[in-house]
Amino acid sequence: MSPPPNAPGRPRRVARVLLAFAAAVLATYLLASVLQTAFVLLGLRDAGARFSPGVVLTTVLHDLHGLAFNALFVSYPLLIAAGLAVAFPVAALLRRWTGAGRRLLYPLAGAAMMGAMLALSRVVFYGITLYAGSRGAWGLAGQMLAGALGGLAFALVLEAAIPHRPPAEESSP
Amino acid sequence: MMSRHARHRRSLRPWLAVAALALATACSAADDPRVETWVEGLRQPYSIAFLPGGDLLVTEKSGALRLVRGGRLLAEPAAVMADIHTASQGGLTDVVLHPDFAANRLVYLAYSGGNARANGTRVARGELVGDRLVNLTEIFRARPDKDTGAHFGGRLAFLPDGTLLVTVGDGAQYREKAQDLTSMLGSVIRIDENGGVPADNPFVGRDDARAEIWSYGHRNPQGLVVDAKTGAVYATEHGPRGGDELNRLEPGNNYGWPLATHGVDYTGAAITPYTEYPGTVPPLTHWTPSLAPSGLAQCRGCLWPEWEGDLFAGMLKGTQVQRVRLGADGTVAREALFEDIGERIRDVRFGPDGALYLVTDNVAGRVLRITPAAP
Repeated sequence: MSPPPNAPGRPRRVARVLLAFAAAVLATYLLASVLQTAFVLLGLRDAGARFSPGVVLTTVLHDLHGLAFNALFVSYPLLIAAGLAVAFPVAALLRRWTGAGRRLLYPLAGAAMMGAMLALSRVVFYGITLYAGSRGAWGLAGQMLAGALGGLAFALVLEAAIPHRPPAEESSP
Repeated sequence: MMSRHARHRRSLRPWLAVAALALATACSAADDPRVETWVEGLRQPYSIAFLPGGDLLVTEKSGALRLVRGGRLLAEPAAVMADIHTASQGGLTDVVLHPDFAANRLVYLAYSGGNARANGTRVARGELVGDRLVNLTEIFRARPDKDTGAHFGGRLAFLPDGTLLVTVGDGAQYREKAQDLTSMLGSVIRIDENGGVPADNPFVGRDDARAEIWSYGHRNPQGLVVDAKTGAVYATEHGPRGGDELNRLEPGNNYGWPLATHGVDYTGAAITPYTEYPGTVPPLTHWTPSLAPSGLAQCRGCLWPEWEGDLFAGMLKGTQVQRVRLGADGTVAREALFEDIGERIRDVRFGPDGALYLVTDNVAGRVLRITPAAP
């Protein structure tokens, strides 16, 4: 079947998907990192620590850098990218089968990926949550929210780049 | 023009240099302590205790308490722990003798008990009759239980007053519990010889604290020694990435974890913004990056007079022993020893003979005996 007349060429389509993926990783990582810091600081506050706004800001910036460039095992944005690289194609397949919208499926895929990844890490590390800010239901929900934001960013950038058509008629994600 | 004497001097120089090098090498070799394998055939040994008469008790992580007689490992264990949780960092950790062991034959064991969903640090006491530890009874259980396989602590030491200190880790997942006095996680516990709470423990009588807690704010203390001369208590604990600590423990003190640390999380995130925090006691020294401190010993009348009073911390990741000298003026000097052994060091003890004994952390583990070089 030949592509519709207004469809972008394959290289441009691939570039736009990559752009959307980069936006998704960035959005997920930024929110995940900030929420991870927030939950760690809340835990410390409950344990008696006090922080000035400047200390909070410094810690947020420290973690944005540290989670990306100072991890012992694997960089958090790389881990997120690997997870989304699995989750989004699955969501694209589901979209073809179900006809559901991008704005629903990709956020769900992002959230599910973050939840599954963090739950799996707890199994691997003998019950220890790798990212301390994702401990507890609210901490995990925060990281899943970050995954959902990444999925939404992916959908929005795709929509801006690729005109919307019913899923059955298009070959883009 | 060069004289004959000058030519002779020049021709001798290479030989003099070689002779000097040989002498220096010989002197260096003579200074090297003698390291010998004292016991082998152990499976992940963790700690040792010297019995009167020269026998040695060795704990194995799997839960077996082994007996060594005349340097030979007896085939049958003295005891095998039944209720033991050996997943990940759990297992049979420490063994110490009652201060009046010669009369009552009592032996104390620290271990992790329970299962994957509910486990914790425990202490049992038994009586050594012949080559068997009998009447083994649990006398202490850290509360609350946890559901992780990490950070048990699990070191024991008797204080001069006959009470027993027990280190309990924070469980890794529950780091903030180290600041919660209603939880024993992340604390050093003090109990009497039967597991009861001494009346002079620092938090006795408080509704908002466990009476067993002696000090708190610890992460994973795996080294503990009581100075035989002064009664001072020293403990080492694992930091996360960096921030391994040596602390001098005092009753009621807060040692800061996780409000303050020199380490960061394995993920690269901050544990806390602070390296010191008001109301908490900073470490005497810290190892950053981490060397992973294990057993801790102190030289009191050991075979090296120049080491008198110094502390010796075994290092797992660092595969060495750190000698720590505490100056009267608060200065701390550190020296790496026995790096050439090249093995993870799980425990460090001075024997009754004054020699230094190291326990290596291997599936095929050893006890090494180290003595000064021959004079």
